[in-house]
Amino acid sequence: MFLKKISIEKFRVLKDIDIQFEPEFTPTIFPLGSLNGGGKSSLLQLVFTLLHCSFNKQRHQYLVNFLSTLTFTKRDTMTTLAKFDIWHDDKEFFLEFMVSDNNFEGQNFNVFLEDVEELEQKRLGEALEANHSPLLKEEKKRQSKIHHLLKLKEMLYVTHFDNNKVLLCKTNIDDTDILSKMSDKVYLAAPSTQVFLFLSEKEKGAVFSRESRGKNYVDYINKAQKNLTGFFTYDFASTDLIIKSFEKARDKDFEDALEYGEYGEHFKELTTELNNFLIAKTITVNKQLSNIVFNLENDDEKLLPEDLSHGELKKLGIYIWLKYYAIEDSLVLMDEIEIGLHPDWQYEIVNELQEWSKNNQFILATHSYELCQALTPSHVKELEPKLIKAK
Amino acid sequence: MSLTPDELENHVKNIMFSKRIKYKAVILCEGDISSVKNVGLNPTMYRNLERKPDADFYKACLPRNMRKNNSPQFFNCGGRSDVIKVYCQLKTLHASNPKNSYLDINKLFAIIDLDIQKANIDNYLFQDTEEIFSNLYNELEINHNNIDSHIIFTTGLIHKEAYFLLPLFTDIFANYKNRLSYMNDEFSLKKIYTDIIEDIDKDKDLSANFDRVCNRINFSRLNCSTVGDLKNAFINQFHHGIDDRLIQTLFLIRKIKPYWEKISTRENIDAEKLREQLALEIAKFYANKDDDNFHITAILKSIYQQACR
Repeated sequence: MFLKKISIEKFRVLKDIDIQFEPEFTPTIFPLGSLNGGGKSSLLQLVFTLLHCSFNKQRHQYLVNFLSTLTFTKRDTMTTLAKFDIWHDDKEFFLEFMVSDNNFEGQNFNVFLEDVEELEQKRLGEALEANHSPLLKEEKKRQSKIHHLLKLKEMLYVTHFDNNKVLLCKTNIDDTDILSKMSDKVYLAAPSTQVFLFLSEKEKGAVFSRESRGKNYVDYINKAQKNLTGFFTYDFASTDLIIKSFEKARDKDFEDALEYGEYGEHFKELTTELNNFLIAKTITVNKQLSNIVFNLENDDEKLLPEDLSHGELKKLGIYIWLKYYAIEDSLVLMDEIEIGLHPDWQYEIVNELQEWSKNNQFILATHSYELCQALTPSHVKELEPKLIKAK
Repeated sequence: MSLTPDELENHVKNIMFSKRIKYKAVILCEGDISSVKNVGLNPTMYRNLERKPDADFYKACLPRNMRKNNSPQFFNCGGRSDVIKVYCQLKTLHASNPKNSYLDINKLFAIIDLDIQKANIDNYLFQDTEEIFSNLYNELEINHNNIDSHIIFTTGLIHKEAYFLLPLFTDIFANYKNRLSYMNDEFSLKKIYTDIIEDIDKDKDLSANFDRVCNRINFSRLNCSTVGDLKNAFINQFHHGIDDRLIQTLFLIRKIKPYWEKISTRENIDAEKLREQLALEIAKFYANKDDDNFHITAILKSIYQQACR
């Protein structure tokens, strides 16, 4: 999957944005620069939320949260939020996300709300009975009318939000399977200090709150990570992912034993791989698979968390994330990857990303000159500050 | 065009007062100085550069294990004579007030093109670039016994660009993401080499410096009686197939940049951008191989080791 173009008319500080990404470039890593507050993070989150959450109903709550941050004037009956040109499976696709009033050419979108319930009923095996309901028959009729209207305009209904607003997507993709697969190919990695627009008002509010019913902002981020498979934060140590990787390797070894009569080498290989990654130290897990353990290389001396370099742990976290989820042929949005990395490492991370995962498109929101230096000037994209007209 | 005295002085001060050189080796290279600024380096500034700074190529060639911490800092310094002037002036200015400089004088180095004309260097171990070349290389190989005594290094081929078109990179060109063209035709290294050889007698600089040219390649036993004889000798040798040593010998005396600039693609990418990205792939090859037998790698390793002492 390759995102060729993003167009945004207006979203928070972003206005009249048109950015092209060239699939012909080598490597397909594109730094994205702007001033502080220039909208880099907003742009990454917009792309991630629309593409990752729109075509998977389990993620819709985050989409609704995100859309609720939008403001509209009373005159806005249909507003384009963003347009994307995407190259996927050797085909050219476009997606235009639009926010509409609840009424569309005389038809009311509320029929889709019932549709959700109907689908649920079907799932519960009550569909036969429900089909005989005259009320549902009427709903279906209305639905098929609006479906027909949308289809004529190459549009899909995505979700309701804010009671009377609807997100629609105009696209030349008519296969929902393609949309769903595409949405699983979109990833966002960002510092956990970032405020994520796809969290609810209450969750975001926790940033400025001492404690909210025993939960803090990090708890909400962790919850979001469980629901959004493409979402990752650079935490101090990606302990959970590292342990999961060891568990996965252990399970694969056991599967090999069942299939071939001999335990596999996955656990051993993972240990070697991670040890090669680290500088002068080794990594393993304890017997209970509850803790990761670092030792000095050629020494039994255990390293304490405070002995470890922040930058090295951050790189390890990104590496294990890309490996664990086998992130390939995907769109990977990364916000401020340079934080905690020495300038030499900021330069080197560009080469490392290419090595750690193949054929991805990376969009790196950054302030780092060193990172850009590892690429060519034409790789670098910019959100230019808009001139503010004097009143 | 050379730097004016004011530009030179400003540039020298820019380098000397640049905090990013603290504790690090400084490598002066050829290339446009407009990209060198002391403060406010950010993605926007990089994006606004018309082209990738020449010094970035050497930075990208740096073996991977030398990029962990305190990797050398590369600076564009204009043309070859400017690099030499910047080197001399940096030494002088630093010596006049070392406390007011981030430079460690023992970590100051330069890499310049050999070129066809020689350039003189005052108050240095070697009188000119040709002397450096003779001491630093033995025929086509790096002289590992001498390398660590050098501070100003010349390339072992005529220009930096000569390293882009070596037969070594046949696979990189063949497997490159975008299908390459040469003079809007099918890309072929053989065709490029043929053109370079065919144009030997049209090269005015080569004719004007013919004695030096012959001296440089006297190990090759090619007939150097006249320019025409030399061209024929290359043609005859080339008929036997593409030979690494023959091409490197050719690249000691012929400018390669005009041929490099004829490489493009039919894909939707500007030719200059394509070549910058291709050069980056070539640099990556050097960085990953980390092989002392490659001139650039050997030079960068020597600098790194000298700076660590």
